[in-house]
Formats: sequence, structure tokens, C-alpha cells
Amino acid sequence: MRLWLPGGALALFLAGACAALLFSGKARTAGRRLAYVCSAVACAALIATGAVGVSGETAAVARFRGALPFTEILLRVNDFSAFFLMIIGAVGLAATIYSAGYVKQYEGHKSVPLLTAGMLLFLAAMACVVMAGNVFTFLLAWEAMSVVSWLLATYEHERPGTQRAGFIYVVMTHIGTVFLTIAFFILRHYSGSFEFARMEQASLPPSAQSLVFVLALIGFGAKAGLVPLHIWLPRAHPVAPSHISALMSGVMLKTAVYGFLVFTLYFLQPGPLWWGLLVLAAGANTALFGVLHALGEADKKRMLAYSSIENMGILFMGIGAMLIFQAAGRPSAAAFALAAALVHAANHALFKGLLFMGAGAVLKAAGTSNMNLPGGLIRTMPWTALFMLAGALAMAAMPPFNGFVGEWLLFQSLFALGFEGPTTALRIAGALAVAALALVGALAAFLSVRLFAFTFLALPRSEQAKEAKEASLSMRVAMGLLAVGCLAAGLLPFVFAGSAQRVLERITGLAGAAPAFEVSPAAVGGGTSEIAPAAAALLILCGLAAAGLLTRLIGGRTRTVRGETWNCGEPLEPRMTYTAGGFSKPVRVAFQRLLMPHRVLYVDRDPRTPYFARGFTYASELPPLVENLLYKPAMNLLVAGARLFRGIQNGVVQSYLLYLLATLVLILVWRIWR
Amino acid sequence: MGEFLTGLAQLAVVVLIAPLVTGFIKKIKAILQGRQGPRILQPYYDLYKYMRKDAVVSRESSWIFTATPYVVFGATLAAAALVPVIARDSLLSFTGDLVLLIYLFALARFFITMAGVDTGSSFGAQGASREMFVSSLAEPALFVTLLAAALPAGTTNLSMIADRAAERGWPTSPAFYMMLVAFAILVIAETGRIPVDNPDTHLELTMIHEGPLLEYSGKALALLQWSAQIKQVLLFALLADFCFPWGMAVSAEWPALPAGLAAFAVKMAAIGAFAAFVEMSTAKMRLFKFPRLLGAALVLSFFALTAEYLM
Repeated sequence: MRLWLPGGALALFLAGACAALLFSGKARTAGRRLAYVCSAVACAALIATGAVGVSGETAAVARFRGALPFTEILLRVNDFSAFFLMIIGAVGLAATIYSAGYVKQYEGHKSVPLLTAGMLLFLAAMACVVMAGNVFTFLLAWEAMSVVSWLLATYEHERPGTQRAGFIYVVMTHIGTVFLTIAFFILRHYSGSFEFARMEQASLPPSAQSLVFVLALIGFGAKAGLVPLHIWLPRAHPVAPSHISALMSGVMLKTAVYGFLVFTLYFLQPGPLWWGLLVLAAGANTALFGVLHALGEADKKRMLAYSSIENMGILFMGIGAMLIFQAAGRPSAAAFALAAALVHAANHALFKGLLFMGAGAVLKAAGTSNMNLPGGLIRTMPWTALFMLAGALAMAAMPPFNGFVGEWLLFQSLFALGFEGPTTALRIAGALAVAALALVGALAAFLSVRLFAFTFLALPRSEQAKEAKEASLSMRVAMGLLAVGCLAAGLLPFVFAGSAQRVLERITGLAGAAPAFEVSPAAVGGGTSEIAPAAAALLILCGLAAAGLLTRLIGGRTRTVRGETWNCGEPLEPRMTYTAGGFSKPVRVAFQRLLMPHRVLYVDRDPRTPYFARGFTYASELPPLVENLLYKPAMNLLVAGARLFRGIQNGVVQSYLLYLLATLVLILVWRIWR
Repeated sequence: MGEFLTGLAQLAVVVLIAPLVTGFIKKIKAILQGRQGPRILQPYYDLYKYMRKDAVVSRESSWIFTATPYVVFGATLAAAALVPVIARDSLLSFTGDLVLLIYLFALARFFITMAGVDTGSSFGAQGASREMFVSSLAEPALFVTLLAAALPAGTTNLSMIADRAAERGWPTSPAFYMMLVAFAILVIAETGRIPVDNPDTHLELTMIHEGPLLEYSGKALALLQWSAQIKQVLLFALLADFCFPWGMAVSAEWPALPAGLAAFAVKMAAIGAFAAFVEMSTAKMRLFKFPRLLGAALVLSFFALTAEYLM
């Protein structure tokens, strides 16, 4: 395959960004439209690259020489990167369409061209990351992606908290980049080249391998939001404009998965067992942490961000299982686990993109992203509600939506670890992972009900929610596309699982292993079990019809009367209805040892009598435990350490000159000594 | 074709027998408590009565509330097609996967809880919240127990598990009995029986499963109750498939099928009597004590697994 499709996409992104920025005055709207068209066409090209590239032709390469020998831009596309290009294109297309309607709220008081151009550059940078063929290109694109996403996240910088969130994001992502850079330099040392193609052939001593592995896990883990490196994620994702949140959660996190897999599958040989166990444990920990905090969260977008942490945890559990099987010399089982991770990556991109867009539509219409405030929006925003329902069902991994296929694959590979793991300890680890995944899955269903029901059902709990307007056409089209994608990828696992299978067949070290994982247009499975989601869906539909038919045949025709909800004889008021906070309270109570929720109850008593209270104030929040227990002590240590050196840094120029002189003398003495 | 018909017949048996099992449990419970109790066929009369009644639907509710009974029945029926009861094959043996089965139940629960919130009633939302809470805690134990149960077969395909379990004969390993106890706890939790939930209660504040059903009437109520009864039979059947798969027809032949049906009836009666006995002899637990009960099931199933691994 030639590079013109993805290369053209990159050029279009850049051209569109220029168009959005350069057209001014009356031509401004035209420029923005041009940018949208460019972006949409480019995204379509990326999807096409995925479809063509994944169908298995050789990798393509393009070089652009730089001024210095190592500043060469090297782009390449192989099956693996094409799979991720497809994800970028799919969510990017929806985000482009969505933004046409969503950005209208910023017109007049914010610079819309900047936002549009930023989105296009962000997409281009993400595409570049997965297309990079050498270290320079990768790090350049990686940094561009981080910086552009930081700028986009702080777009509404005048809002309280946004700048702080952006600051934490930019610090954490650069800490990650430092680790990656070190890992790349170690690889450079053993391969003698900065090119990925040469690095793939390098052979490292075991200690260096493990070092590179740990560096990559920390570096990419910071981007993927692995606990405890996640602290930026629940802050930065929610403050961004919603289509940017969708791209950050849906797509940008996947570039970290791509990078980590490039390291483990291409650069490093299969490593010792503890690699896999470490990743599996980190994934399970991240997933549980994410879902528990999501259930305690009152802000809708932050809740979705925590849910992204959870899903990245699930993904890394798949990668962990893959590494364990690789270490144990079971390539076919490893392929199965990798398939679970890849399919889940694509699925999560679709449904999380959809949910962030839906949350944005609700935010725009009801003016708040507080979970407890709207409610009853299904009457005023029926289409948004329908699409969000699809997203919620997918997030809860309900058959026949796409989330289920990924979760099923992961359950299968963890069961396989439990059934036939090479040692007893590994089997028990597999069983523990099954328990963790089951808990996470059930809590995710809890979370999905909470998200959908308290936004769209019951009575409206604010004036704005009563008068909310349905989202604009472009926003509905974008959400509809993703919702259809969620359903289609669930009914026909072929859509993503098929491409994943072809990737698996070609991946280093797993060649010839794919038979463990088979996809037919209707079914997916391997080993000893398979599922046919379409058959299950058909059966559910038959059951639906049977329900209607049976009740009619047995009971005959009956009437339906509208009445009031039973409320112990009192008229029902909005403030009597359950809230999202109350809904998930049992979980906060049951897991309070882990979450340590902070509750304040203040009773304003009547001074004349102790028996009557004039009012109550109740506040409940989940304190940021990781920050308090890990980051704050670390920061204090750093500051204390810096204080030690304060004596040297006295601000007097003369003494600084003296330091210089002393250093010079020392170096000279050392040279003469040698 | 024979297999297809057997599968269809199994589905029909499960759907038709479900109210009878509920009636049987109620009768046994009444006898144990020294009451006469309602007739054993009473659940059929109840369903018939509900189906003929006009429905009252809350003004505050949306189409989710109306659609829920149908989706729940559909998902439960799909689940019924997966579980082998009389013969070892089911209608959807090729996709008869444990994980799919559990997630079909979860789909039904998803819609029931949403409908509970939809009416704006606090009782509905409270029941919904508790339902999700209990299932969240039960799920890990359930999956580990199923892993332990499926371990000898090495697959999550239900027919193959039943096959493998039938070959094993009378189990002697302690692992099996630990798994059995864990499984029994989970079946009681999932069917909403005492000590986890009380299916007969009409006191709003103690309801779990009945909470979201509070606003339902007429045909919708009939469907939801019928679905709950089918789910109960399926969970009993699952327990039987994994632990006592004796007497199931291996192929769709004349003498094997009635024998399988008889064996199925005996197993349902035995498990039902056990459930009635537990319900009669224990008190309902406080909500925040469930984690201990379900944690016990989880630990037991882990012991079972470890014992199985080490032996």
C-alpha cells in the first residue's frame, strides 16, 4: 500500500487548520467550513487506510530529510498502525461533524477558528504518532499531541480550575515523555540507530530489556492514566470542550496503548513472567480504582473520565494476560488476549466518544454537568437520549452492543489463564483477575444506569432542564453515527475483531498463532467457546415479539391509563426523587475502606430547644487519595530538598561568578591530574 | 432438525414450568411453617389475572418504562435458549456461553433498574440502587464459582460443561462441595430470596427486586414476574447442570427425552425444597451485611479452585 492515503490525510489536516486560521472577516465562516470538509475527508482517508492497510499489504515508508542528521521525519504505515489510524479516523470524523454544532456556543466571546484549527492539528498529531518510523518523529508528534491537547483542554481558561488542571496535565505528560526518551536512548545504544525498523532487530541483554520495559510502562502509563499516574486525567478531560474530551478519552489514550504495544511486541523479546503479572495487576488496580471513583463522582464529564481510567485498566489487563502467555510460550493464547485488548481499544473509542459528546449536548442544553441536577431530559432531548442509551449499554458491556465483545474476549483469555495457566500461582492469578474483571464489569453497569437514568429519566430537577432544547442536527448526526457504530461492531464482531485478527497474524512472535481466535461475519471466538451476538440479538427480538403476542393471546385486549406515581399519598415533587449521589451510596459505604469518603453533616439547632433543627447542611466528597498520600509527600520532599540548596543560590552575581571560576579550576585540575 | 426441535421443546418447558416451581416453593414453605398456603398452581392464576387487567402507567415515565418488560422478557427468553435442561444440547449450543448468559441477565437487570428510576418514585430508585449493589457484589463470586465449576471441562460452553460433568460420576473431591455451597449462596442471592431479598414482601423500604416493579401493573407486571420465575428456573438448572447433570438426554431420542424431563422435574423439586427450607429457617439480612455473605461465597469458590489446582 502506498502512503498517499494517510499522508494526504495529514496534509489535509494541516491545510484545514491553516484555512480556519487564515480566513478572516466575512470569509471566516467559509474558512471554518473548509476546515471541516478537510477534516472529514482526512478522517475518511484514515478509516480507508485502516480498511486497506489492515487487509495485509506491506508497510509503506516516506522520508523527509532534516537539517541535522537525526532530525529526519520518517513516516511509515503497517497493519498495526493502520488499525489505530482507523480508530483515530472514526472518532475524528464524528468529532468534526459534532463540533460544527457544538462550537456555536463559543461564537462571539471566544476564538472559534483557534479551536477548529487546534482540533485538526490534534488529529494530525495523533495520526503522526502512530505513523512515526523513528524516534525523532515519534517524540516530535508525541509532544505536539500533548501540547496541542493541553492548549485545547485549557480553551475555556477563564473558568475556575481549568488552568490548574492544564498545568497538572502538562507536568504529568512531560514526566512520561522523560521516561520514554530514556527508554529510546537505551534502545538506540543497543541497535545503533534511531530508526524503529533497526530497533526491532536489536537484541538487548535481559536486564536492559526489563529496564526498557519498566520505563515504557511508566512513560506510556502516564499517558494512559494508569493508577497512580492518572491524576491529570480526571482533571484535564472534563474541562476541555466536549468534542475535544471525546478525542482525548476516545483516541489519545489509545496512542499510549499503541506505543506500549510497539515496545512490547516489536522492540523487546518476550520477557520474564513478572512483566505480565505487573501489567495485569496494574490494569486490575486501575480498573477498580477508576470505576469506584466514577461511581462516587457527581460531575458527569469527570465521571466519564474516571470511566476512561477504568477502561484503560481493562485494556492493560488484556495486555498483561498477553505478556504472561508470551512468557509461558503460549503464542495462541497470547494472540487471544491481545485481540481482547485491541478490540476493546476500538470499542472504547466508539462508546466513550459517543458518551462525551452526549454529555456535551446535555451540558449545552441544561447548562450543567452536575449529575444530580438535570433529569427528565428524555422528553425534551429524545434523540440525544436514544444515542446516549446506546453508549451506556455499550459501556456496560451489554449484549448485543460492542462493549460486550471486547469484555467477552478478555473474560475468555483470563478464564484460559485460570483453566490452563502454566503454574498453579498463575492460575490463581487468573482467577483473581477474573474476579476483578467481574466486579469492574458489574460496577460499570451500575455506572451506566446511573449516568443514563439520572440525566434523562424521572422528573426534571432544574428550570433549565425543563426548557432544554434538543441538540443541533450536526451533533445528533455525529452521535447517531457513533451509536450505529457501537451497535454494528457488537452485532457483527467482524468489523473490528476481523481487522484485529489480521493484525495478530502478522505481529512479531505471534505469527501462526491466530487460529486461537477466529471471526466469522456473525460470530467470534476461539479455543473451545464462541459467541454469536447477532443470534443472541435475534433471539432477544423473538422474545420481545413473543412477549407481546403471549400477553395479547392470553389476556386479550386491555387498556392503559395514565396515573400518578405512588408516593405514599403525597404529590410527587422533583426534590423527592432519588439523586445520582444516593443511587451509588451503597457502593461508597461498602467500599469505604478503599475510598475513605469525607462526609460533613452540620445541624443548625434551634437555641431554645435541642429537639428541633432549623436546617441541615450535608456535604460528601471523595478525597483525592493518591494525591494526598503519594504526590503531596513527594512534593514536600522535593521542596525540602530544594531548601537545602537555597544557601548556594543567594542571588549575588559575584558568588555565581565564583562558582564558575571554582568549577573551571576543578576541571582543569582534573584534566592535569589525568 | 431433531436438535432444533429438542432445543425448542426445552425452551418451552422452562417457560411453562417456571410458575409451577415458584408455586411449589411457596407451598413447601407454607407446609414448613404449618400453614396451608396457596394452591401450587396459584402463580399461573396470578399471571392470567394480571394479563387481563388494565394497566396504570405513571405520567412521569417515558418509553423506557413501557419497553422494559418486553426487553426483560426477551433477554430472559434468550438466556433460556442457552441453558441445557432436559438434553445436553440447547437451542443455541454453538453460542451457549456462560459469560453471554450472565450478561443477558445483566441486560434484563439494566432495564429493570432504569425503569425503577424512570417513574420518579423513590422506592423504585432505591430498589434499583440496591439491586445493582447486590449484583455488583455477587458478580465476582459468581464468575469465580463458574470458573471452578467449568474447570474440569476447560471451556465456558454450557453444553460441554454439562457433558464433562456427567462423565465425572459422583464427585468426591472437597473442592466440589465448597463450590456447591458457594453456588447455592449465589443462586439464592440472584433469585432474590431470603436472606438477601424477600420475594413476598410488600413493605416498600425492604424491597430490592420488587422495588422497581412497584409501579407496574397489568400485562407488564405479568411479564416481569414471569421473567423472574424463568430466571429462577434457569439458575436452578445451571446449578443442576454443573453439579448434578445426571439423567440428561445425550441425544434427541424417544426414551431419553422423557427420562431427562423426569430427572429435570426431580432436580427442580429438590432445589426448590432446599430454597424453601433456607427461606423458612433464616431471617432477612441487613443490606450492608451482604458483602460478608457474598464475600464468603467468593472465598469458598477460591478455596475450591485452589484445591482443584493442587489436586
